[in-house]
Amino acid sequence: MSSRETARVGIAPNGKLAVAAGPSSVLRNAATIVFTRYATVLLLVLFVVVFSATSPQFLTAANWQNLLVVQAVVSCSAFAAILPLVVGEFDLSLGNMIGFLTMLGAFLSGQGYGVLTVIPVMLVCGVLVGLLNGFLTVYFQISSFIATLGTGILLSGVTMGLSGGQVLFDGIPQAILSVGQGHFLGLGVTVWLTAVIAVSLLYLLEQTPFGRKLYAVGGSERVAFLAGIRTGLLKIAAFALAGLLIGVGAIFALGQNGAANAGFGPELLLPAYAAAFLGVTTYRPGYYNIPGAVIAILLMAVGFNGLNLLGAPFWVQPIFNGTVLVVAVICARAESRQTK
Amino acid sequence: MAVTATSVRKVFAGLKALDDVAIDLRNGEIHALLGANGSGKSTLAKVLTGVYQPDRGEITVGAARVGRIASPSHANQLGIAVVHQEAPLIDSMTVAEGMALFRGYPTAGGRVRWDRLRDETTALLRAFDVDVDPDRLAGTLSPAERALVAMVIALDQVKTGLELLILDEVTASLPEKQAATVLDRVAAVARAGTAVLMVTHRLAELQERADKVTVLRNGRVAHSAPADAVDHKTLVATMVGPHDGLAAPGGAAPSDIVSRLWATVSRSGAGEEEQGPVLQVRRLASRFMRDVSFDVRRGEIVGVAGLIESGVNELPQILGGEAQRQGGTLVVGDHELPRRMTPRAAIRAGLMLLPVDRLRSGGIGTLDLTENVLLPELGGFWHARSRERRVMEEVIACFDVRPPHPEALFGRLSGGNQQKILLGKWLLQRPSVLILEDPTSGVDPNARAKMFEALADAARQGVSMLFFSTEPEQLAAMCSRVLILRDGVVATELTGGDLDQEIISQWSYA
Repeated sequence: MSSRETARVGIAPNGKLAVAAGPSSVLRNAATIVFTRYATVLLLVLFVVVFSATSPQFLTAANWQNLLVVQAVVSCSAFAAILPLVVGEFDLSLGNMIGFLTMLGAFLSGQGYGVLTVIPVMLVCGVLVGLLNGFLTVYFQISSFIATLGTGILLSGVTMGLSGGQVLFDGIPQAILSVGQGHFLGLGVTVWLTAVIAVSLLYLLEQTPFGRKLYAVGGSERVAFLAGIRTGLLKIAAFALAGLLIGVGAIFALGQNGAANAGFGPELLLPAYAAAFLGVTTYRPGYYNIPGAVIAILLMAVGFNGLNLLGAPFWVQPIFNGTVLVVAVICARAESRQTK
Repeated sequence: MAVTATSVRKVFAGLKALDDVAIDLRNGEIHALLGANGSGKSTLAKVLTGVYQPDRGEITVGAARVGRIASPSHANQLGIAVVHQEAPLIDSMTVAEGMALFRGYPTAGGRVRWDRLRDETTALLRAFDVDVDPDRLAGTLSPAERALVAMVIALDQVKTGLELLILDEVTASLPEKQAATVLDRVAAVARAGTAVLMVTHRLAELQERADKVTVLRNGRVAHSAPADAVDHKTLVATMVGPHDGLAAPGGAAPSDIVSRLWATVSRSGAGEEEQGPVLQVRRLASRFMRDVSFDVRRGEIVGVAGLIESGVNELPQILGGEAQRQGGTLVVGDHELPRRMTPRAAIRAGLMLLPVDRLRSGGIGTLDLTENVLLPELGGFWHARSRERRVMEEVIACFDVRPPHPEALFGRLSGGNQQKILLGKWLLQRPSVLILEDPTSGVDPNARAKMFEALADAARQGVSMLFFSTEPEQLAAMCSRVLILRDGVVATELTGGDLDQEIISQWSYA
């Protein structure tokens, strides 16, 4: 990454120790840094090695295509969770929002609208819901936890209304289906698009004044306000951007499934936040960040996939994910205590 | 004889906070303990309440020689009650429940007996003649009522043999009338035969209440006598002491800190002398201010002092755009500031505030120094990493920031280094008027010297300053004139020969 990031990792709190101590402890320190900050990456590598050795199907192209394509929608949800988290807010509506936008797309398709209507409407509605969340939080000064819980519940009702109690699959535009189910250079189109989104967000958050201001607002809204930053506007923008990402995720979901089910969405909320929180332990420790979330998603996906191939029962996945999240965050805290 | 302390010494990191201090607190007397910031009066109060143990000295409580007081609960056992400035109440709970957290809940079979709790609390409050409904939420109490309830809680902590009640700056944040209510009740406690030690820096409170006065200065007793033996003027002079310490910034070698900083961002001092004032404040009104008007000229350092209700705490917030004014106009240069202010509008106009609360309002502890310094103009540094690095190197070199790493986290720096970074952040923006709110509170002497050097240079480069301080010697050394706020107006303006720490103290403490 940028020179700033490498500098942070290199000098950061252990740096002083490293200078003062002998070469063997330098090595030990470096090892500690790698072990605690990139524990999730090491764990991911370990899983890949172990599963490759134990399961012949694991390291096949087909397995990885499936493994990755499933993560596209989860990733969009996790990215959408991160933006409000960076400014110190929560968006609990994103699970219901993705369900709503998917259903809206399917509903409009069923009414005969083409791709040039369906996609923009899905994205614009995502932004509008995000703006509403931001507006409720900033102007009425209610906790975003409550505001977005409210909008989420409201949206779940709209979703059920649109569905009419049916699974909608009529008339979904071919373009959306191609995005969801097509392949490019061996990987799903949604996987490539997710990678593009991840890189763009990484750039936006870490290389632009906008992103740095978001982190400043999250660090101390008061100080940022006193420095002349329009904190309210930035918070609303973070929610709106989250809505846009959920819109993208909804397009992916609609294309991948080829249908919209009123029950879809809410189950994405917890994995999205788990990835965001787990990501805090990696890459830029202590800050919500995109690369960390990507690693977290891959870790959980590979763990599930490998255990599955080894014949573990279906209920092992949540147990695995929950354990990894808690243990990783405890490790990261232990490290930050040491370096204080 | 209730409580006496003799030859008390307490050393912190080589600095004598208390040196051979003696105090004699007698039953039925109110004893006032005075002193400027850092005089050792809080340390003495903490020695008497068991928070600190003295390195030397002896304490006698009642007839017993206790040597030292081991802990706050030991102090309670000995019959010493202490009331702190912050009442230990939870705003969202009733007074009765807040007090029950200290006293314990009356229960029957594990269930709280609410009726008994109410009766007990009522009886307790009545015993101390405090008229507060125990069912009220603590958050709805007036400041005086909070202080009174805090006093009752403190007195109730001492189960037997009350010897001494200590008030640790209890009235410091109370408006004068409310403080009087509290002090009258304290006087009643004293009349009942208890010794009272009142730590304060408000001289007016002593009037007809204190029986004895002890003044600490630099950790030593500078004065100890019956209260009617001296007038306020002498007391202030004793608190302030002979002129010392702070070197006049004019005497120091001129530095070029500010021009070096500005060079990195291609700013420079406006060359030509502009005519007329930079800042014009007219008929400013707010909660405490009634009618405040003054001008600040280019490159001038104007001090402001006053007591809490004078408006001296509101003025920086209003000028910085954080708080709204109720009336009056603010003009910076030719630009009249809008009625509805934001920090953004103030900064755009060139009015910038270095707030006293470093960690809550000054910097972001979880971000690094670069981000903190560039916060007001992050947009200007998009894709300008090398410029960013140059600026930070200069800020760190100019202010001698330790550790000298732009990527160090702000929250891990010492108070002095944090303040230097924040001063750098605002000076970099080339303010027309820089508002300094007690800029050296919690800042070590080296950092102070560096800050004053930078401020003097900024003034030479044409930056005007409003210097709010509770330390008269700083005002005397730094400012060309000092405004004294009182009762919501500018009561007087001290210039020339009146710019003397003693005269400033007389005006600001009285």
